[in-house]
Amino acid sequence: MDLKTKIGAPRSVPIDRIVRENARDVTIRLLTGDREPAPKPGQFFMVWVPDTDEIPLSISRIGPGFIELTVRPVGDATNRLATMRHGDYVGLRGPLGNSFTLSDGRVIVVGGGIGMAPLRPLVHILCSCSQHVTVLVAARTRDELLFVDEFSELKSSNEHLDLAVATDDGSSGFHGLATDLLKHILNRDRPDMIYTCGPEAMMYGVLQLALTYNVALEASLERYMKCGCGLCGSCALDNTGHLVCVDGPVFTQQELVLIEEFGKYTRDATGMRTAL
Amino acid sequence: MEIKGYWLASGILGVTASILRRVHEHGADVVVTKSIGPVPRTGHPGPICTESHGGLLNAVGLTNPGIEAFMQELDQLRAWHVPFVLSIFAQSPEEAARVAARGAEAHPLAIELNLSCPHAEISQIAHNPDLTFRYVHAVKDAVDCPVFAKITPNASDIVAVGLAAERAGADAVVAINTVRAMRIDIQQRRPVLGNRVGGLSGPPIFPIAVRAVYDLYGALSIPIIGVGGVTTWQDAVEMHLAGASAIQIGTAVLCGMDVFARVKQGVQRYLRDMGLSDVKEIVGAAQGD
Repeated sequence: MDLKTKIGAPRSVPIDRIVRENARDVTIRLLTGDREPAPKPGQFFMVWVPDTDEIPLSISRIGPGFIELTVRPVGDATNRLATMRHGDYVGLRGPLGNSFTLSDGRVIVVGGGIGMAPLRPLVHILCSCSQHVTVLVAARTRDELLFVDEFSELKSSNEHLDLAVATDDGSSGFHGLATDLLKHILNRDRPDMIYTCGPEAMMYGVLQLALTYNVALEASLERYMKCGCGLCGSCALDNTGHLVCVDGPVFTQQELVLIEEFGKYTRDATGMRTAL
Repeated sequence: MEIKGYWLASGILGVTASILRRVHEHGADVVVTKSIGPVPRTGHPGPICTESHGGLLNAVGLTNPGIEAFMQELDQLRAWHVPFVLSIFAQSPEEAARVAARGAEAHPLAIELNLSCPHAEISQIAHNPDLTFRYVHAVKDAVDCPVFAKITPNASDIVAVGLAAERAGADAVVAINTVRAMRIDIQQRRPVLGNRVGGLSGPPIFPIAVRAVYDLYGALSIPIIGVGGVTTWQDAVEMHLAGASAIQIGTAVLCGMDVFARVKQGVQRYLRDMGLSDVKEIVGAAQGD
């Protein structure tokens, strides 16, 4: 791959619209045009928010001539992005990183909070290629659930799709953690693959269940990222030296068990270790 | 240490032991760490990099956890037997001496003194022979290991700066650092990099590096470590012919860590085809009489 593609062919694209998803999160549609290579579920873009910063955001929808990014405003760049308008430009590099592998068997998709974003396009594709899909949408509370209406609608036209909801406070669906509900599901149904994205403590729990029940797993990881293209090393994982930006963000069960820092610590903007 | 082979250049990856070990296992003879300063530093706001005309423009901004926190990574590198050079930067000769002395406790093969990051406050040091002399002299006094001075083609007279480093006791000079540059986004009508100005690396700066190494080799008696845009074995041979004893590779690593093995094999094949046995026979061979 040439250097320009590796760096993500930097360009600026206009915002089409911004839609509120729940009490916290918004989805931003960017008019990217149809260009090669087409993004795949699990990949991300480096998004340059003018006058603020450039941040990695996973792709939450891949459409004709556009892509969508679903964002939780938690920092300077995400807050600024959430207030931008139709016609404003943002910088874009990508698509970057690897993607989920598609299983044609029985699968479970487990998303926690904003971690549902990269799983959304995956669910849509799996619906057309997998034998059976169970989507488990989890959040702390009902107001933070993502894409539940969209998946309900998808389910009405797809008999191979099941939808389960869990909230920590019990305000919607199962009262408890995503991993508690997943355990119930695994006790009665043994899938071929689990896909997950969300808080690392949740993903670590999902990995333990996948190992116990002997199910393959792919998880999308998050680390502090500056370049997104294998230049700065900010997102390197111990002790394997995997880079989340180019070797990930999606890692397999076999890789995750070797990544010693997974579920334990991360690194801040200076590269210093911080406990999760 | 003997100055030879193909090394990972400072600034690429290099901020944890895990990734540096991986680069070494992929063929880098020596790895040079990211430049480490006295205290933790987040660096510049993004975008910290963009592409330009086949090269890479970056303004990472000397992101590093500070020498104290980095000692853990250095000790790990040593435990894994990864040959490493510690790159450091500082705001004064005294501070450079302190960072170097602390870093030397981890027994690096050498300390590389970054005097020339083009998008940070230290960019001006290697524009000035006097300042360069003072930094190198202070660090030489503070440590027993070899000291390299990394210098810049952004200086009006890189040879004068190289000579100052040599007079101050530098064991080698590393040339070149990135070339000061800028890109502007035409839709947003503003500079792309968060820091506005950055440093250009990769193939577009290769001939600038060859010229700098050639000029330095003609004037200095200490070894030159060549760096700047080397991507293929042909580039490496050319850099050796200009006067580089060892070569560092940075930007090309983005397109694959196998670059070290490819370059090394290519140079060896070239030497064999020319009936030569040692790379020393071509170092500076383009200088003429």
